[in-house]
Amino acid sequence: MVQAKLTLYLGCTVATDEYAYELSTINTLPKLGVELEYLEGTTCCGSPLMSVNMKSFVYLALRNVALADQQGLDMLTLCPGCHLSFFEARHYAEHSPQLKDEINALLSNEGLKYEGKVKVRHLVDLLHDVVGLDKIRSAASKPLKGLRLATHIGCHAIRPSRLERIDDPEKPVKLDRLVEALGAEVVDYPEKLDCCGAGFLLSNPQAGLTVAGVKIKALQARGVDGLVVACPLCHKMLGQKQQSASQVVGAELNLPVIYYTQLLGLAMGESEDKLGLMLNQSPVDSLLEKLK
Amino acid sequence: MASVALLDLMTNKPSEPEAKKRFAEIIGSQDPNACFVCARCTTGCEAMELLENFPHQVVNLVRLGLIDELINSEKIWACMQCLKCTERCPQNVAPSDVFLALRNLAVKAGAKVPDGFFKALEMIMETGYLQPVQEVVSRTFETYNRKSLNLRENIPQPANLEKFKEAFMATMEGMF
Repeated sequence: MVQAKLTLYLGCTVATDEYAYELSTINTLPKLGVELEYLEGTTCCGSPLMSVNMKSFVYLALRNVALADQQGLDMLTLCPGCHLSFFEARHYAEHSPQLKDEINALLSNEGLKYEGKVKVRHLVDLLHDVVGLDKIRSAASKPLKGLRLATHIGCHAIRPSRLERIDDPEKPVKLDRLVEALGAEVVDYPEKLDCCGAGFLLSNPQAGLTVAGVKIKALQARGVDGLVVACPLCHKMLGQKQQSASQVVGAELNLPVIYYTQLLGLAMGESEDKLGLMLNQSPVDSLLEKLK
Repeated sequence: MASVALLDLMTNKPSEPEAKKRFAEIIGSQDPNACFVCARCTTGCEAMELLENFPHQVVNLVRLGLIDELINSEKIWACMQCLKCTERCPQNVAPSDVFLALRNLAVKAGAKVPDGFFKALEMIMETGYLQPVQEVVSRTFETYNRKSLNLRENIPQPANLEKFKEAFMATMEGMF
């Protein structure tokens, strides 16, 4: 039964690089009653340009929202950074009629108009608030018994709370509850709110790797089986770049890092190929072995 | 109103009330003048631990009007926008937004800006996205692309890239 129908907005990192997130999303969500169709005509959400020119950022963000408005369906983002971009740009437009008019004048060049009618959702709040834990629990035909996992939801999913975010800014629990619904144990840890370092990718990549490496090192010391993420940039920093981070911080790092949608698929009995698990550069084999 | 007569000790540059006004236009309602220097932003700052960046100092240099000093300083780029400072400020100052506003002014003033941001700008202007669609490698060194993964091959893009580019460039009027 179709419970929700949304457009899927990819954003730069998912569309061009972090394919496992898109793959595991489109191969799991429909089985939970979530119908997805790609949002066409989109571009970058604008986030990297906040540092260059606020107006260009607002234009890019609202252009994507305008496309969703035109489609008339709520919009799903996989990246918390894109999610924040849309909420932030909407906040500016709603508080400045002049800015809204200026942006709409530019959008009319492509026959678009920003109205802000549709709701923008992130994967975690869609699964937690709309699909619901009960449905996920009953879809998990192969519960992940015996796994001890930590979660990392991503800074932009929860801050700043003055803009509507998907969970508590200091004590996020939704991703934890979602992991528990699949039968795994969730381990809390003091470094839970620490950043992945992706915000340094354009200005100081070495510093970004240090931030990532320090976090992974701390987590490893707590003896978890893996780390669950719901952001393509967090996965890139903590998972895909883990060996580079290892060299920068001078410590052996071997922490499996996995997308929530991949974990969900495993619990639903989906094949590893369809979840893109071969693409995870972190040593997820140890985690997969424990499930056999 | 007479300009503030504080001088920066390193270069003896005077305070810039005009630049402060331009800054206020970008930052909107989160007024740096509300800061009472509790340094809560700095105590939780990961960039403080790593790169000795002190957000409360940056906020207070803005209060003093030493904008020119800041936009030519590497400090404003030593922030990864984790937004903890903004979340925790008891005065609603939003230090992370102060950093962004200063970066915008640095670009406008032609100050030294990390290359990555201009590359991002150029790529987005030409293609809509930050980088071209990549080929990726698996853990066992097999190469994959969107097609071989059974993902749609062409990613969503503006129907008319030229028209998109035209409007996008108009957002940057007066920037460079």
